[in-house]
Amino acid sequence: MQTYLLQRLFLAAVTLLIVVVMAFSVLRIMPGSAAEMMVTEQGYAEDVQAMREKLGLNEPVLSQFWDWLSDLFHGSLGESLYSGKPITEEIANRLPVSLRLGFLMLMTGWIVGVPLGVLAAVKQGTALDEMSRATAVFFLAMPTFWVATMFLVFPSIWFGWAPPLRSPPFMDDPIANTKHLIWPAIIGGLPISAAIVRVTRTLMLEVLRQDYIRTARAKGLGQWAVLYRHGLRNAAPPLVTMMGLQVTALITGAVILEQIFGIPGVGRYIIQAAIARDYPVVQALLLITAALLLASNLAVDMAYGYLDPRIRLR
Amino acid sequence: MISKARLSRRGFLGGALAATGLAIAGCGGGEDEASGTPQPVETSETLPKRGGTVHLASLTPVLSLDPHTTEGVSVATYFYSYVVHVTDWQGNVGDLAESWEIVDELNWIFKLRPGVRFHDVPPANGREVVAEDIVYSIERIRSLPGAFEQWKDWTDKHEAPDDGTYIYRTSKPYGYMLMTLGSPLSAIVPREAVEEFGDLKSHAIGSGPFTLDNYARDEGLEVVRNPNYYRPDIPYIDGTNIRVLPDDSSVQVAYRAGSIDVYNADNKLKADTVRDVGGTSVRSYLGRPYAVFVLNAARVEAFKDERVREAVDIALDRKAMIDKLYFGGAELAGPVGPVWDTALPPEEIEQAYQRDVAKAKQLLSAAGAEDLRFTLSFGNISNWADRAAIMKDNLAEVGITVDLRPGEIGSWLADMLGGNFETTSYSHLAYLSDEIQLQSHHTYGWGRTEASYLGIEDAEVDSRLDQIQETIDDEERIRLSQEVQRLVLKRHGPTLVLFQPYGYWCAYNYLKGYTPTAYGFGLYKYDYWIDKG
Repeated sequence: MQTYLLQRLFLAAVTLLIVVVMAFSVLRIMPGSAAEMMVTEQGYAEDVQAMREKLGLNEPVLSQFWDWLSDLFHGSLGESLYSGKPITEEIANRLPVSLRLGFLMLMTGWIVGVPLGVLAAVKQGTALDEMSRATAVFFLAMPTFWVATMFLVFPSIWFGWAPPLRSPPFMDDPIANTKHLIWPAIIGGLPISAAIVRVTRTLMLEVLRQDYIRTARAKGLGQWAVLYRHGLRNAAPPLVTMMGLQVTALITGAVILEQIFGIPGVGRYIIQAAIARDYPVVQALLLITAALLLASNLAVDMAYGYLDPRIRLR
Repeated sequence: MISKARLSRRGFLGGALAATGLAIAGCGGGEDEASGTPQPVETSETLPKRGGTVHLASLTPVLSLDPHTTEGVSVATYFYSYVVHVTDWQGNVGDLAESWEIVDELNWIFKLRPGVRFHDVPPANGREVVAEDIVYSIERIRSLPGAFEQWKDWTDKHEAPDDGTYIYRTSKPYGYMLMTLGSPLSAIVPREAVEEFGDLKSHAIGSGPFTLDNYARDEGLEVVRNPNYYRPDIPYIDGTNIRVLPDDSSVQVAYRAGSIDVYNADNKLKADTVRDVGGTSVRSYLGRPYAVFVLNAARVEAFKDERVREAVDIALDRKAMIDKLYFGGAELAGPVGPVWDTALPPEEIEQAYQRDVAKAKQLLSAAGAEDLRFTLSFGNISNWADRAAIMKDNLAEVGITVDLRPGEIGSWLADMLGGNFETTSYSHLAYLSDEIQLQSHHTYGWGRTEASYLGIEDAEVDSRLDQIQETIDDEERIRLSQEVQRLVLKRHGPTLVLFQPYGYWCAYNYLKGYTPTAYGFGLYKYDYWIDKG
């Protein structure tokens, strides 16, 4: 297990290094720079050259890279070129919003997905099963941005209704704050729930055919006890590891949904920073996102290794 | 050298932003869409009412609150007072200045209104605005990198001999003095606020009609009525909330749901999406962006030949562009757009822009440019790609091959500022006076750069444009402006103005007392109100 763990950590470190290099270079390869974007706005510098000087973009690329790397090792993500504020501060202001949205999306996914998946397995071959599978395929196939746009447009035409434009801070009014996030959370949670429905159904079908289920029924246990204590509990481990893989969906979903619903989270911040060529911000966010994905994948690998000895011994 | 202002830097971005739909804060007479008749200032049957909050949307983040920067100026008029207010495209009334006089065409003496106070928040704490604040503010504008060029070019000295008198001496006669002082960029700020906060990006302490309640650049801002504003009954409303929304469809949704009170659409089709919402009036106004086609003779030698430029000019079907891109909702624009009183009469513009394919071919043949080929660069935003496609088709009809070169806005902007294009088309942003639009036809641009950006020098046009800037008398300036515009039309570029589109102000009828303009309720107009019956 220790070798397996070390291998995984080494691979994660190499991947992170590649991400660091890519995050740094990709924006600089793109035509247009923050200097041009900022110099068009009065009050920053006399001209593009002066702006580049001010931003440190005239330094050799390797030197810029080294400075950034050394800042990273000192725990600093740098400062936003636009606001001049530390990026950690900018992210800290937005992260709680994104985390709440992500949490609500996950909750929606699991609360809807697991029961529906179990039900579809139990009622295999019935109209309910067919309907839940078709619905799952629908939500998996429909792009989140499309569903979100339709959700915004049609209720406003039919009922003159739209979700709230903004909310007070969570600590001031948790209910109003949650009301603001609940609709994007449902829209983002439905594709997650669709994946969960399909996986849960498959796992449950497999489990329900096992001898110990037949034994449990033969013992006279009720349907609920059979499904929950013997069925779902045995099907659960792969579902739990699946949660780790959903971090990607949460991040990409948050970027889209935060933009469409005007939610001031990290996802929206990354879009605005990329448009403005705010290099340090984009670099930092790419790095954080990659680190988050690597960490979740690592956790999944660990969990697999722990749950299935065949993997760690391979 | 990377040229900075042959094509106004602020105009680039402003045009881009307006094209993508910022427009929360411009001018132009409103026109009732339904009747098509000119819309005077609203004659509501009800008397103004106090109270209520206006909800607006912005498609771009309010990046800063600093009134002396382009990114903060869109909301500056909520918070700040100005020496004078610009009432329409060229008129002025006093704001901080109660009266003024011009002595020997160089010295402008402004007598200030007593009792105007800054907002009652630290560090200004409601102290009275004095002439020294104006000196400080103008100096701050002049000191900012890339500052408002007029202040740099025209200032000899300015001073505050006493609290109630401000004297400005120009280095030579300057005809646009009041427009410059009345620009939203010329806000009067208290020195202590800048000194305490370092900048004004997140703070707004002025002496204007509203005070800042809260602000988050990605979310928007909330402003509340300044109870100590020098006009005791103004504003009538309690405040305004501006929300940043990601796109037009989100704004339409919010409008239909009643979450915002106004939807400022940039074309008819968009306005149609909310026209049927109960209690909605749609009124049009000439917007701030105007479309241009720029020929860079520094890159394409053929453009130095006036016959080639004329061929390009008369090959363009401006009316088709207006019909296809704006569904008829735009006006042909001469070297100066139709919103200003210096604009040439519409029939003269129409005559100048008569499309003539046969003549264009003859001109190209005479110039030996039958095989002319160039690239057309444009930012991939709004309908710029559609406009470029129409131009390509128009020019193909006279035998000119155009290679379209779309670019993401950042990369296009980089090319633009570096002069790295053969031709380009974009939407420029009109300002309060015709100065920038007119002077952009100068060889060295309105900011008088060191090099000819587009590779064509025209001493005659240049000297006439210089003369206009130095003309104080309004009537004489209009006459001179129209003369030079006719000359610019004959020169056919290198900047060809195409058209100026209308905007469509969709608002609930309970909003009263405003004239819809590209600057929202009207620049420096605060006497609108809410009457829900």
